[in-house]
Amino acid sequence: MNSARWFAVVFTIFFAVLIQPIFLARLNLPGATIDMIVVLVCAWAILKGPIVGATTGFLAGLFIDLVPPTEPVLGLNSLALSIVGFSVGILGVKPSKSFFRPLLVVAFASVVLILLRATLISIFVSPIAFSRVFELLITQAIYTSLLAVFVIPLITWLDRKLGPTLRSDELRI
Amino acid sequence: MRDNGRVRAVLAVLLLVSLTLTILDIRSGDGALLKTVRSISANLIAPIQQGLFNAVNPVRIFFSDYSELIDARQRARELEAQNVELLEKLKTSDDARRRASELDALLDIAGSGSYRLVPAQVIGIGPRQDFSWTITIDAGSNDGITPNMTVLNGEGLIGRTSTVTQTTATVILLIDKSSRVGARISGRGELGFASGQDLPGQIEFELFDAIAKIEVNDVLLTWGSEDGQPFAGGVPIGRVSSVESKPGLLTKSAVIEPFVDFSKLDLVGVVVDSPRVDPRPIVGPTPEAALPSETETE
Repeated sequence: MNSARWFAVVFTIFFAVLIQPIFLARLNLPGATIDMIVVLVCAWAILKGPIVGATTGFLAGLFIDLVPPTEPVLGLNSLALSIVGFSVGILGVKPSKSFFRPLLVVAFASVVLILLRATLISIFVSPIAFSRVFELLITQAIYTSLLAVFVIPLITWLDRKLGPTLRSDELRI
Repeated sequence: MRDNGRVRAVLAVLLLVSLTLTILDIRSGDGALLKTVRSISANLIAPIQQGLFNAVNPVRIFFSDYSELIDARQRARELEAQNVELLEKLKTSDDARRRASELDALLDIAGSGSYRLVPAQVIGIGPRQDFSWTITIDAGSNDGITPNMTVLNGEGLIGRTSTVTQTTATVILLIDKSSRVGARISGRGELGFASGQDLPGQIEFELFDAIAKIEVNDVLLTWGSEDGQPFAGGVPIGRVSSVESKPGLLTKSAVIEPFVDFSKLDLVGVVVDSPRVDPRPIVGPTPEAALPSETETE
């Protein structure tokens, strides 16, 4: 990972965190709010492996917790998104080999993220009713996989623009 | 093999840092270091957020207009049906007239409240995935807003402010789980607490008195806090939609349907100055007494 690529990671994540409450949350779609952040974390994790995935998730979580109007306990989103980024990274799906598998991975990861976040909030803040969590899952999977159709090629393109990939970036377990 | 170790080390460090932050944040409570960090970051981000909002809002309005067009047709049909029903009621029963006068009285309460408001626009909404209900508004400490102020709109109570930056403020909505408002039933004066249920269309009202009388369609108002913070008095909250009485319990509870449609928030007002005349004693048998000019006894 060169510094230009890290800059791209931070910039895309920061943009997603800012645009989420201003635009995506205000579209008033049924069910979950369109989660562009988790799609971006997954896209970077798919392209660059578990280290970049986990770090991107961590940064995204910090941004989410620090940008209003979200006011959860600091660190919970970082925890959940690091785990998701890391797990997606070690799966090792290649967008160049299959079109649908990355989308499936994103949909699954975003559902896991909701469950993980709900669990963490239940433990550290206050319990959440299971029905509240459940009604978000299906829409979350649909929205994020649809968004991934555009986001993954975009990030792949951006990644290529930033020069050749080093061997260490492709790190897998 | 060395690489595998590195991967695990990175993950472990990230998870540990996250957990440390979490525990620090929970342990330190209010007014602590992390609160300051959050307020600094919010202040830094506020201008960017507002600029982005101005750039993006026309696009959003285009989208929401389109979806509202579909809603509008159905709504027109619903309203027509409702209109016929209402006309029928108006002709046949005095009950409707009585209810109308009650509504008038309620409006007088709100009017006589004469809150000094700072108008603000909603610029951001928290994601549902957070299981909390918060919004950002485009007024901040430069407009005289401080944490713990009442936020309302033309329909009723919305919530209270929490983090305030120079140009924006975060509002915790009435329906958030952490929300708890002292409330009373209009006209009856029965007291209790209204608390958020994490659901957009309902809140729970717990009465102190287990044998208090409460009926469907009763109106709930805030009873107000000292100096009007966090909640000014006399702000309409919602209407009783069902009453649950659990035998054996010391309290009685009711489900309240809030007056405010929390999915369509746009223009709100922040109460910066509570009324000098408390609107509470005005609830009385004669509507004339509710006029603010006659209640000022100076």
